[in-house]
Amino acid sequence: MNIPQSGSRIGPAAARLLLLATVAAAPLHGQQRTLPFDPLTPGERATAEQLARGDSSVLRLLEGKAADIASIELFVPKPPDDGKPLSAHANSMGRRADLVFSVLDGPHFGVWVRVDMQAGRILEVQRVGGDAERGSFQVPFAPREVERAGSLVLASAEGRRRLGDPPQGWVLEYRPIGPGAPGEPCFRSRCVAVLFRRDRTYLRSYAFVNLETGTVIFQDGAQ
Amino acid sequence: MRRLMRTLAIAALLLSVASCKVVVNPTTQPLPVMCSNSSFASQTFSHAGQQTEWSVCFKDLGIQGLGISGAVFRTSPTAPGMTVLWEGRFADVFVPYHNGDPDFRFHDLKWGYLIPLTTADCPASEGGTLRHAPNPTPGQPPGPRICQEIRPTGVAWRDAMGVRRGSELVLWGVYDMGNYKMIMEWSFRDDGVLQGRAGATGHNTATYPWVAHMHNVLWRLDMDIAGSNHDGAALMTHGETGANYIATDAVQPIAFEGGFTWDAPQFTGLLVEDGVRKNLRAHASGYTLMPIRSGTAYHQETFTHRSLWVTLYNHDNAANCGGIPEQTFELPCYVNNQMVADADVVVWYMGSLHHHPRDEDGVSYEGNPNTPADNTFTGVTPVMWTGFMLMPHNVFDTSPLWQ
Repeated sequence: MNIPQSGSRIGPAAARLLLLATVAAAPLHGQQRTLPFDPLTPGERATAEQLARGDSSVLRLLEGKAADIASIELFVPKPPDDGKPLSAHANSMGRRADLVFSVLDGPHFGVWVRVDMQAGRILEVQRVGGDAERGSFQVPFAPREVERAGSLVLASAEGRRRLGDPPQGWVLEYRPIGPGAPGEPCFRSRCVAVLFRRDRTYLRSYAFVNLETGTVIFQDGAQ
Repeated sequence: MRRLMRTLAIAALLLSVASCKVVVNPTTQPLPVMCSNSSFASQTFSHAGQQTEWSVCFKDLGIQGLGISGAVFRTSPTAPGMTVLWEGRFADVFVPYHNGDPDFRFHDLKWGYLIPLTTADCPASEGGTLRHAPNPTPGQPPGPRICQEIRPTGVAWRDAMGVRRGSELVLWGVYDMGNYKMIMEWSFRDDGVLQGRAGATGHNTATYPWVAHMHNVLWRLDMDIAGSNHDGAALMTHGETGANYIATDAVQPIAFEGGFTWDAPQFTGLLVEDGVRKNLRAHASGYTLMPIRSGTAYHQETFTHRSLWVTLYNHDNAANCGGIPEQTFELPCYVNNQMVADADVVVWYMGSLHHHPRDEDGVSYEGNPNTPADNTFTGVTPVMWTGFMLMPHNVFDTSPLWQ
C-alpha cells in the first residue's frame, strides 16, 4: 500500500522543514556525520516506531491489537545509476526504516512499514501473513512472543512436572515452526518449539506452544 | 636587493605549494567510505608491486543475522572502485527433519540473533579483531558479535616460475538458532572473489538426535556490478555430447525472472554482467556465482524446488505473497515474469547441508520413561559448510596479482 503524502502524519510543509533541518544539521567540524550505510541509531529506531504507531494506515491494519516490533532495519534507497561513484550520492541517498510489527493477541498476522526518516512520514504499509493459505510464519517473532511461550511452558502442570518447580537451571531455547499440516496442533498457527538445555545437556522432551490458542503440548523424543 | 630576495622567497613558496600538489596523485584516491568506522572494513592486498582492495560495510540485522552493504572492489590503486554487491544477506534457513513430523520444519531466521563473541572465537594472535556493530534487537546481551580476520587462503597460483599465496578479509558471526548455531561468514579475497558461507554447528535436536535433516540456507544477493542498472544475468552450463569427443559450453542470457535448477553434470553457474563496464580488452565485466555444495535438496515446499533465482530489484511483489521484502522465501510467488535484461537484478541462491547424524554428534541417554529429566542428549555437532563463490569475470584485464 503506497501512502499518499497528504495522508502522512507530518504534512508536506512540515516534512520539507524537517528535511531542511536535517540538511542544515550537517556535521560541524570534528563531529561524526551519519553515512549512508550506518545502521539506524537507537534514536532513529525510536522515532521510526513512534511515527509508525501514530500513522492511521498502520493503526487500521493493526486492527487495534497490541503489537511489538519484530524486526527493524535501515533501508537505503538506491541512487541513480549515472556512472558516478556511490560516494558522489552520499549526501542525497536518504535513510528509511523498515519495521515489522507482530501482533501479540488472537489470530496472528504482521504489518510491514517503511518510514522515510528524513521526511518523517510513512511511505508504505502492508499486512503480512495471517492469510488462510500460508498462516503467518513469514513474520519474525518479537522478543515478547518467545518470552510468553516460555512463560506458558513454565506455568503448565506438565512443564512443572518435567522441569521441576521451580525449574532447576534449565535454559529455554526456541525454534519457529512452519505452517505444519492439517490436523497438527500448529497448523497455520503462530507456533514455536521450546527446547530445554542445562549447560551442555538437552532434555529429550520438547514443547510446542501455540501462541494463538495458548496451548502447550509436550512430546518426548524418539530415535 | 631586498625586493629581489622577497620575490625569490615568494617564488620558492609558490613552487613548494605546486610541488605539494604534484605529490598527491589524483588517481590514487581512497575508495569511498559509505559507513562509519564501527561498520566498516577494508583491506589492501599487495603482490609484486600490484595491489587490490576491498571495502565493505557490515551490519547486524538482528533477526536476520550478519549482512553486508556496498561491497566495492578495485583491481589496482589507480582503478576506480567497482560495486559488486549493493547488499548481501541470509534470507532464510529452512530445516526440515526427515521423519515426517510436519512440525519439525523450522524457519530458523524468524527468531534468533548474533551471539556475543569472545577472544577465544576471534584471537588477536591469529589476526582477529572483535567488532561492535550496533545490535537492533532489544534485550540482547552486550558484546561484540562480529569477528574480522585476515586469513591465508593457501596457494593462489603456481606456475613454472613462481608461486603466490593468497589471503582474504573475513567477517563472520554466529547466529543463535536454539540448539543449533549457524556461522554466517562473508569473505573477500585478494583476487576479487567474494564468498558467502554458512556453517551449521551446536547440538543436534535432542528430540530427534538421530533423525537426518537438511539445513537449507537461502541467500539474497543484490548484485550491482559497477552500478545498479544495466546488469544482465546468464546461465553458464556445460554438456557432454557423447560423440566425437565434443562437449558444449554455453552462456544463455536470462530474459525474465525465474528459478533455475543447479545441475551437477552441467556445472551450472550464474553470470551477472554489467552492460557498461568493460575491461581493457573490451569484455563486459561481471561476476559468476559458483555454488559450493555437496548436493541438492528439493523438499515438498515449492520454494526449495530451485537453487537459483533471478528477480528484478523490486519489493512490490512481496505484498502479494504475504511476505516481507528482503526477508521472503516465497520465491515462486515473488517471481512475476518481469524482464531482467539490462536491469537491476537480485540473485537468490539456496545451498543445502545434509546432516546424517553420527556418533561424533554426541550421545543420548535413555532413562526411566516416567522421569523425563533422565532422558537427555549431549554432544556437539562439528561444523558443516555450504555456500557460494562470486568469481570475477573479465573484471581484471589479465591474471590478477601475477608475476
